[in-house]
Amino acid sequence: MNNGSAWHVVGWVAVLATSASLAPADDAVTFDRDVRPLLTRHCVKCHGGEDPAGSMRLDASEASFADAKAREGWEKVYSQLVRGEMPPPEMPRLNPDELEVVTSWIRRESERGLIAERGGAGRTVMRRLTRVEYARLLEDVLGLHFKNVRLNLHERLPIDPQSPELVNDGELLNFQNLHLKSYVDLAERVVAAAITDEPRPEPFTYRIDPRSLEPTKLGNGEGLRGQVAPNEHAGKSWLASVSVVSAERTDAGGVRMPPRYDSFGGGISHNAAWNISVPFFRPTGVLRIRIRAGAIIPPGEGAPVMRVSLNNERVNEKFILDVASITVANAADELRDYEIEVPLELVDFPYILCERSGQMLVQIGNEYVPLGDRIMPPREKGAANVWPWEEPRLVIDEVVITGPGSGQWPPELHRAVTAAGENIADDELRATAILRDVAAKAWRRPVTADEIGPFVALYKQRLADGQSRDGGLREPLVAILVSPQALYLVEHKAARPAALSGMELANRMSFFLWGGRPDGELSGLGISGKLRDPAVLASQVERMLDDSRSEVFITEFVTRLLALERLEHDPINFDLHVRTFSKKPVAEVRERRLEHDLTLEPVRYFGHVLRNNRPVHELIGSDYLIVNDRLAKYYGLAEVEGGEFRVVPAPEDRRRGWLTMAGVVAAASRGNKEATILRGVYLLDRFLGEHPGVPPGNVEPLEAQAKVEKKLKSLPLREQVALHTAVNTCALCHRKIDPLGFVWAEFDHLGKKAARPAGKPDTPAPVVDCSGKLPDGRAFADLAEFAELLNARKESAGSTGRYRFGEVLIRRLTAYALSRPLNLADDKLISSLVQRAESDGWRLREIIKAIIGSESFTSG
Amino acid sequence: MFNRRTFLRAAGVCMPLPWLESMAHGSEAARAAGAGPGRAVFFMVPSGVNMWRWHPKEFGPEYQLSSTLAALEPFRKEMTIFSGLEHTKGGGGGHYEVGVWLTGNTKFENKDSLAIGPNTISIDQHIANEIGGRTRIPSLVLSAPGGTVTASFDAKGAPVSAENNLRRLFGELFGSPDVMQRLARRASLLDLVGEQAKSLSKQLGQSDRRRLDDYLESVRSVEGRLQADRGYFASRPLPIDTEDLKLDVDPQRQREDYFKTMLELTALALRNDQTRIVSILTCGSGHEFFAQWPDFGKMSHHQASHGTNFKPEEEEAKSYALLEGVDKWFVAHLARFLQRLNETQDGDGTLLANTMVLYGGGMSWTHQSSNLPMLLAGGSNLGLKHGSHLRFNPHKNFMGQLEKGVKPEETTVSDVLRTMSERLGVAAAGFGGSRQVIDELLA
Repeated sequence: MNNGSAWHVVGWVAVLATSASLAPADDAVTFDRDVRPLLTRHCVKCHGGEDPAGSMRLDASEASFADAKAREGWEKVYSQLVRGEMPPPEMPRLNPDELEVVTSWIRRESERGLIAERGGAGRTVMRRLTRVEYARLLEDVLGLHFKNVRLNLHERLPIDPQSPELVNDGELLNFQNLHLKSYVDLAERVVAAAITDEPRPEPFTYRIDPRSLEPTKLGNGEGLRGQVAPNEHAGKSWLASVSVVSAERTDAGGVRMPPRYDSFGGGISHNAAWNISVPFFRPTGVLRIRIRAGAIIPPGEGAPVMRVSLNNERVNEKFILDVASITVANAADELRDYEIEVPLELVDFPYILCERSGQMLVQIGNEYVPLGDRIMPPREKGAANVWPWEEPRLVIDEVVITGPGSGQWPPELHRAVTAAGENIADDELRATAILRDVAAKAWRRPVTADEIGPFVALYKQRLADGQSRDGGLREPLVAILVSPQALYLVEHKAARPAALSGMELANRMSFFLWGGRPDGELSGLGISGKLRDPAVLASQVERMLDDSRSEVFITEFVTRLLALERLEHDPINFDLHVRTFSKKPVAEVRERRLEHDLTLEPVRYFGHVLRNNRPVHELIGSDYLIVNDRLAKYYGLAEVEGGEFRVVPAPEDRRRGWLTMAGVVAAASRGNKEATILRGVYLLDRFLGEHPGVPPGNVEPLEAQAKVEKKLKSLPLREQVALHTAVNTCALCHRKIDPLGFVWAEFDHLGKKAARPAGKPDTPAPVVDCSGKLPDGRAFADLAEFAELLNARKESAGSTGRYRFGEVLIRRLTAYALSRPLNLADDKLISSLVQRAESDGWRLREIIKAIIGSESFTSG
Repeated sequence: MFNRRTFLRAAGVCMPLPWLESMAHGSEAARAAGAGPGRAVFFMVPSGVNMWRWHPKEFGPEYQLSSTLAALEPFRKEMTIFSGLEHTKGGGGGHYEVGVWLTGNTKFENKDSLAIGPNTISIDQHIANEIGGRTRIPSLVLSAPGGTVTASFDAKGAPVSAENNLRRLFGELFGSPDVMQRLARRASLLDLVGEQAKSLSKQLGQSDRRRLDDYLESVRSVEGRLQADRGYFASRPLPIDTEDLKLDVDPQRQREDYFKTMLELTALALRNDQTRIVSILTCGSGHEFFAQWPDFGKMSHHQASHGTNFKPEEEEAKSYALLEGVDKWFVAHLARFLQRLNETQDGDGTLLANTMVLYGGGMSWTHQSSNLPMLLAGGSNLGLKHGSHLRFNPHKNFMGQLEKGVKPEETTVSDVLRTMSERLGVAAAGFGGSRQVIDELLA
């Protein structure tokens, strides 16, 4: 095997032309007569024989496009010819006519090979749902939506294979060995939680009014304590004990809580919290917690975060599970009720520990952390401990905890899943109706009675085994949910590419824009076929983009496009520890929230451009930012209050949209202080749309090299980089990569402007050289010019027209929509989309509509 | 390649044990024919010991067993006692010991005081990830409190849920009354979805059909695992007399019977080659779960452990007496377990010769993590050399309190873990900051 090269060319020349079996249609150009002589004349001198240059052998007597590897090799030939990288300068070049002969031939054969491989018809492969999509489908089909509690069911499934560019690449989404077991296990678990055939558990409701609690000494300060009886019960064994640590009463009788971290002084304890200890109950169904709360927010600070957790109350075997984190922004004189629904079977909590202690503890705390840096001021000798900052307080006026046995039984969840069988007396008919209804939701299309037959048969078998009327539904339901019809986006393909059915189209659209199944309206239009009407299609796209479910698309697409997930996965040192009065836990929470917001900024920005149908060029050039209070502090902007993102005027140095967002620069730098080459790779890949190539295995990163070679380290950075790429004979790729990386020279690895020399606030910021050039030779002096070059709307005279950001974005969107990487055969589609965008003013919604309306999307 | 499914088909459902041996490979394949497979047991007893009576006074092979370890006399040729062991960075003390003992992750601590939070992988799971697939159960994780009270952590650093219910453990190992039914139900479910895939496949184009093949392949491998389980349970490999096993005992009130049964089940699981990797934790650090030991004193174990604080034995007589009582109680269980392994034939040798048992804790003196009480028994067929009391960190005194930290060349707990892992053919260079394999342990 020839593992060293990125493409196994020697192999594919040998694999033979099954594509020869394809009917030769308009073969004006043939390999033997037209192409082979050109290759022989211009290429074979180096790329021939047993040991061809670059392992690329072009002297075979036949050419194959039958498999992906072979096509990839030819695409490489194509792109090197087009760019003039081959033949090398010392060899005779092809004249434009000859070039056209070879390239058009590669293009055509490549497309044919692809179609041949895909069963002679479809242009996309049937793909499995990603684990995130599958988890969403389960939640949606079974109605597993719980207020303020996230289930994160996908985390119980094996991690999907993904390409670095595309989250939903259908070619990669396969099943491995025992993977299905995790899917069956998860489906079993959610179905067990949804179908209830047990007797009602003991009902109880604890209504806890702080006015009824007794003041007492608790921890470092004052607190409240008391015992509360539930509504439904009398008797001592049902009393819940409540303590509120470090609580100050409000005038209205409620309780104010400082953030948990504040242990410095002023009688404030660090473990300020409500602790409500409820006698152990059977952990089945939904526990409801309702908290009447408000906030006191001092100027310049953010809103408190109400953290609700379950706790087993065992010292040294403590297990704490955060079930909800809610930002409370309403003022204390406008109290609001916050509902938290905890599906006890679906959250991972070791109830056995509670069973043993006989108690289940519900804890409520204020997990606020400062938005910006805080340095503790030096304290004069002998001065009293005073906390120098005023903190946001969480005000809680009442807490109501309701057990799963209260309210209706069987629970709402059970009723909703079995609703289709309501009022049907006969067990089998009822089960048929229920299973058919659930299958239609899970398989996202109408389901016939015949199709549901085997599942009903399984139900009957279970009844015969002695299971209950409802209990017998569980296994057939699990089977429906793990069937290939649920797990795959199934499209029925004809021998030749043909229009998708209305329902198939509806599915493609909803998985593109919502990452989930079509809703009732879309399904209806799909079934009736009206969706195939272009006007209906366009209005549905509008509706879907307006719907909040489009957040899924916006988030997934932008996060992967800009590799923002790196902010959480790469080790990036924010050094917040030293800038947060040296409290490590506070710094950690602060860092998590900052990372979250930095990740969210480019996403929200794209969302803004999308909602307002703005031109895509605003993504890398505008006079506004979309930030919240935390990011405003990070950027040093004037007062922005509140955690929600909003439009604000951008300062001078942040007017290049994504290109001047801290999160984007940080994602490109991957935690490295010296990241010129990484940044170059990132820009080439993400913004110029060209794959940077794979470095040979023996290349050391620049920093490692600099450590070994002292001489290298003493050179200016630009020379270091130049040396680095020279010594590794990687110039072919690096002459494209390196000149790009300097465009961000002004920013540090956290996306902040490099600071002035310490102790010299008056010296002007150092002038940094941010110049460089695009791979096609066009030079830029700084970031602004770089963005302008990418943003050229029309092919201007003198430029080659490549590297247009608008086109790169269209390519990425199309690949995401079709769930597959694009290839040569898609060039026609892309150029028509680009043309269309030019005439539509590059407006984002129009682009998405054009993609969905294209033949590639609407036929399979 | 000889895969398991074809094997199962060929062998029918009644397969001989150990039934996966022919598929084992790597270093094990290189071992002498007739040798049983290697196994490892990690047995942790946290919360500190009576340090005056745990380690022998002499070093090298000519040592006198201490009073605490006296019950291990029959195995002194089959075990090695360690003095001066610490974790790589010298830390990892206090109640975090449980999260550090098998991970070597001295950074492990948690914001919410003593809750179990994200960690790094523990050595038993590291080994199981590599070779666990060779047995029906990749690894057993046990503790008396169960759930997240465990010394085992997966690759993501999440605690591996520990089994504490002996009845359930027995069912897992030898089948429960409804196990066949349960497995049959799942088999019919898999049949159904397999049929769905096949009929769907007929409606698809060629390339889509190929994509569905890996779904079917996955259905088949899950079925294969299921078949193996059914075959295993149907053949009832051991005529176990459940009368002798006390499966429904309360871990707190009947702890003698509880541990006896747990260790007996462990020995049976190893003997049957149902699993090769076991981690046992008695309870969380701090001994809330086993707080009271009325036979040895009135105070709680945790209180006694706190009370000692490097003091001479006579100053804290009651505390030390309680600790000593508890120490001996667990050592007696260990001795019985080793005895059980030693009298069980396995391949050409004894089960003990094929099983490494690491015993001990991550606390010595009150909340200290220096000079940890640890010993390694068994595994002489796996290339281990025993019979000595090894001394590490010799620059430190018996208290281990003179100097903080460990010298870079010094041997650490992680080196012990790595040495064990590599004896089973699973590379563990750098595990938990390990710097070396312990030559003194190698035959």
